[in-house]
Amino acid sequence: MSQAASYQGVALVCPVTYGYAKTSEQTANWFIGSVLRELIASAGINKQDIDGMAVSSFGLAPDSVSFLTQHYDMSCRWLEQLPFGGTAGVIALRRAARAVQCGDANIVACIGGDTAEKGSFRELAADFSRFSNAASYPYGSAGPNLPFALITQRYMDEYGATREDFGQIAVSQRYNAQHFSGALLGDKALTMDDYLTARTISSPLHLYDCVMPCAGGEGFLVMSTDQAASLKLPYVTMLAADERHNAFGEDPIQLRGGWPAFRDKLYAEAGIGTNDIDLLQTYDDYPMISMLQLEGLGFCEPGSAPQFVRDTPLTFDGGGLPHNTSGGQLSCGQAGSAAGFLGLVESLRQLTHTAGDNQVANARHAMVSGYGMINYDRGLCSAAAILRAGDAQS
Amino acid sequence: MIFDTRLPSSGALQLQQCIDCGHVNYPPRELCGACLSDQLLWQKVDDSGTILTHSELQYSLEPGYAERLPLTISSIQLDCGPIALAHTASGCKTGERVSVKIVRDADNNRLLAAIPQQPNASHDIGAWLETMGFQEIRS
Repeated sequence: MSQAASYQGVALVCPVTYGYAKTSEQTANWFIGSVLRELIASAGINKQDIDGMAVSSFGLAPDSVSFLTQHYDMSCRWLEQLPFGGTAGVIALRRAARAVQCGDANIVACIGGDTAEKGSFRELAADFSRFSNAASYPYGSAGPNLPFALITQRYMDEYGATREDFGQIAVSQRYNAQHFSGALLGDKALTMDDYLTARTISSPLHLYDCVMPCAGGEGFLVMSTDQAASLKLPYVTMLAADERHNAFGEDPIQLRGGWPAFRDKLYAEAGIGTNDIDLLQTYDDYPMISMLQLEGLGFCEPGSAPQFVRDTPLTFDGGGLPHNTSGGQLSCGQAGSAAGFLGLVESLRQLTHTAGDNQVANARHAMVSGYGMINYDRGLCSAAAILRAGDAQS
Repeated sequence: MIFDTRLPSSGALQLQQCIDCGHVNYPPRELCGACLSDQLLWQKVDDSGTILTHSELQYSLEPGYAERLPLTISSIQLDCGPIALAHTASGCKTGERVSVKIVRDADNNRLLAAIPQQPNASHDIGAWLETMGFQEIRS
């Protein structure tokens, strides 16, 4: 496989998290546009300075990103729409970075946004994809809980993981959320006992293994490092990023995502290893999937994530591996496609040292990983990026 | 509660087989996943399989299922190739050999259902069929 061109000269700026609510009467369009407004204000630029937009949303139809330009009265020369769910943030970043490097756009707004009304999650799950509609949803109509229950049970049987092991992830993230003002569940403590005694949803998954659907928006800007410097914006650079779709499709049950297919190349291009990563943001639609990322990204061997989470503090200030430092989706809520941006936006806050009470001391390198699009029995998309604080760039 | 599972009729297991390359496809699709031919025919296939793993659902997004909880759903490696998610007789275990049939429920939905190949006292198949409202399975 050929070496990917470097992402040198690309800056990520202005992390924005906006409008999280358990339910909302606003549209996806409102969330995306509100994030855009905050991005413009945060960068101190004019709306017309943004000439590219990369948008991801499950609920934008019948609109699309091109229609948004008229809603927001702007003219763009580069647009992307990213139907990649939990990988949408990292993939938006990859596409936007190349556009900026190649001169196809100067400033790209990358935004994920979705709303949530009563019943809207059922509607999304009941008509998610042709495979899901025909061969998954008719079997108990559990939505994503079914494939993840099946994956989690098989993983437990195969590797001896216990519910306490998954609980380590959920409980640590709740602690992180208690130090992040934007987390919807951040005002509620979660003990291991709470986790273990919660009601069953779909065995072996219980209540605190499952994310709470919500409304919200996330976004950031991609521009050149020169432009970020001239705007005096603290920025983050990207050392490497990659994605895979339907990797290892021959595995009967998805006990690995796509990350092992590109992990070694990713670290080689970044020129650093797992020991250099100061914080890790995984896509935590279920704790099991965070474990697959710990393994797939090389923090531990396949099947050893349970031992890893027993040995390694995952809190932002625990001295281990700070993980999902804002509480992740498990404590912030899953705002549709914005959830695919959550870890990336949080990483930008951390690496620009603007995180607040949950700031990881001396954070210099972050790894962000995404996962998503449950078509039938597994998530098809895997992505990851390695980021570095801009002031460390020579 | 109406689902379009695209399964052709109840009774013996039929799946889409490719006339050109013989590949058995599931979930239903327009083109063969192996060779991309559109020559797919619903054919009777070997209905034997092995339970890879299973879950007991205590929560459903559909009210019609909510009244039948808990439900057991398993992931089955069919001997003829594909992986099938299927309603599964209570008491079935991981690794157990099952036969997969197409059943009809009270709403006339055609659904995959897995029954043990060697039933014992722990599988109360009759009670399960009644709870699920499935038409009796004939092989």
